[in-house]
Amino acid sequence: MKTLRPKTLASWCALALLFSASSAHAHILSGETGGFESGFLHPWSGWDHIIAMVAVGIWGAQIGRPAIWLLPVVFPMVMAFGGFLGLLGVPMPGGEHSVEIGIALSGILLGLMVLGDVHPNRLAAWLFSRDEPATAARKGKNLGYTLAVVMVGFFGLCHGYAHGSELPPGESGLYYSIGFVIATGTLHACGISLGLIHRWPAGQVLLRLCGVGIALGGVYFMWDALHPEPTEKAAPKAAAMQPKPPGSAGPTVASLSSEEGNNIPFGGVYSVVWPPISYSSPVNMFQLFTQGQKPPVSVPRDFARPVPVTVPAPLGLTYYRPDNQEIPVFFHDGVLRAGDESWVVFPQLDGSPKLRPN
Amino acid sequence: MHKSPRHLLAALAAGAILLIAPATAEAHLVTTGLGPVYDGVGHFCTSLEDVVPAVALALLAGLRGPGSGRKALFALPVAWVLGGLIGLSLTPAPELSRPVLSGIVAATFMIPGVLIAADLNLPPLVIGLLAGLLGMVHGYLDALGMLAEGATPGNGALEFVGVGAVLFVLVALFSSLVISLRPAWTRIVFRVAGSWISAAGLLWLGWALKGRG
Repeated sequence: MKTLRPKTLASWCALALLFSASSAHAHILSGETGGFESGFLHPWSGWDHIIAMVAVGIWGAQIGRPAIWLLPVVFPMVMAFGGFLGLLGVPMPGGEHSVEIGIALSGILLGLMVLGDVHPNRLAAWLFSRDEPATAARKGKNLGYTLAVVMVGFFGLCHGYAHGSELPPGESGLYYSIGFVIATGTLHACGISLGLIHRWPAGQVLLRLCGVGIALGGVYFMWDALHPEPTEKAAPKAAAMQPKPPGSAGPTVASLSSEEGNNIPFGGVYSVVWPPISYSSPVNMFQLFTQGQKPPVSVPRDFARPVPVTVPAPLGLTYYRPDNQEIPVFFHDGVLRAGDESWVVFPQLDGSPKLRPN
Repeated sequence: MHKSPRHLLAALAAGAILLIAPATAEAHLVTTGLGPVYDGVGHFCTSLEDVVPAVALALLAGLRGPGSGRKALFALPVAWVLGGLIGLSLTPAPELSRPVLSGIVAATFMIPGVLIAADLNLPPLVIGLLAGLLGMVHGYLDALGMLAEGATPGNGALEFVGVGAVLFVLVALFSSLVISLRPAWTRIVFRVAGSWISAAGLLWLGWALKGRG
């Protein structure tokens, strides 16, 4: 077995040290580090993304060359394009809901492809079964790989669009993008590595079982996409029940952060700490809310779509609504938006509300 | 002469170290204490937005063969230095907004990345012209960055000498690595890397257009 010559090894080590040189810097820019870490961890943030990317690798390994590398090449590029569209806010046909359905569909179809060990060129050749066998095989091969690439590309677009979420403030878009793409490729590589057991009969069975799991995961996410959480539907309904008080102002609250001034990490349960206010009545009733109660607020893990965060209504606002009726609080695009303009009154706050970890 | 894929693994390890150790990445002026030439070397080596397009160009040149590699070997460093000198000579230096800067650099990720992934049969002249264009753009933008950070034109010119030297070495190493590797699967590895580079550039372009890049 050939081994690296000492000179060659030394040259590569020197190159590695050159690129990792750090002694020249007076400080570390946490933005770049945090950006790479955030980007690398983001594709791992949801099982719907993980199973689809792994499934692409497995299916490519099952099909063999050139799909084993063609599909993992196409998916990140098209996914990046989807992320590009999501970042720019380009509306998708059917809205974000259609993207969620597309993501769930990717799990189902890719799982079925893995389960059935489907070779797209054979499937396409069946479409040309009336032709001569050699002609049918040739046409099927060309069309088959194209169909596979188109299918994987469509799913990549949906996944990328969903990933086009808010970059955490203070972090580098470049490093985030690099980390994100590397993580995606790593997932594909995991799938390809797993798919290489296809060469053994037992491995083929195991892969089909993986396909079952992937497809079932897709079904679960499809159910979740078709049946959103009930609080999202209840909020507008509750808002419609109350008449708009005269002179009510918009409830927008901006610049949400923790008491220490740090960014809010994903997940977790917090108490809302409202700042002091400087109005007269009906502020007195509102002061009961700010001073008497600090209801818990659950910050959603995924900021890709607005998710209502409910806050129990405080005692004292009986003028507007019954006691303890929940006020929907939406955390979206880095801004905490409380309630609905038609029935929630928030007088001007002297500062921004903060979240204190429970 | 066939080269062992261990060379590829060693190169990948070096690249992984580069990417996994981004904590020290610094886009501002670098002071090594060894003079402006080495400051330029340090500045380049710690700027991922410069290194990645240069590596991508080197990989593309290597995929297209020794002729393209030779063209890129000289075109990229010379154009980079020329672009830098042009940028340093502009007074007052034009101000470009961060989204525009990021967008231009993101494009230098995407173009070589897509060409690598597609493995198009481009002639050496096209590779040389592409290397020259990429070098001019990056050299010019680097010069603007240096001037914005307070560098003098004299020191800046010497820094670009260092940048040119490290670029020459980088293109030589990466393009020769690609040329020397014979197994077909190694070519696929580079094409996958090209797709990743272009994908990262496209995402970064989105951030830049959103004003967060």
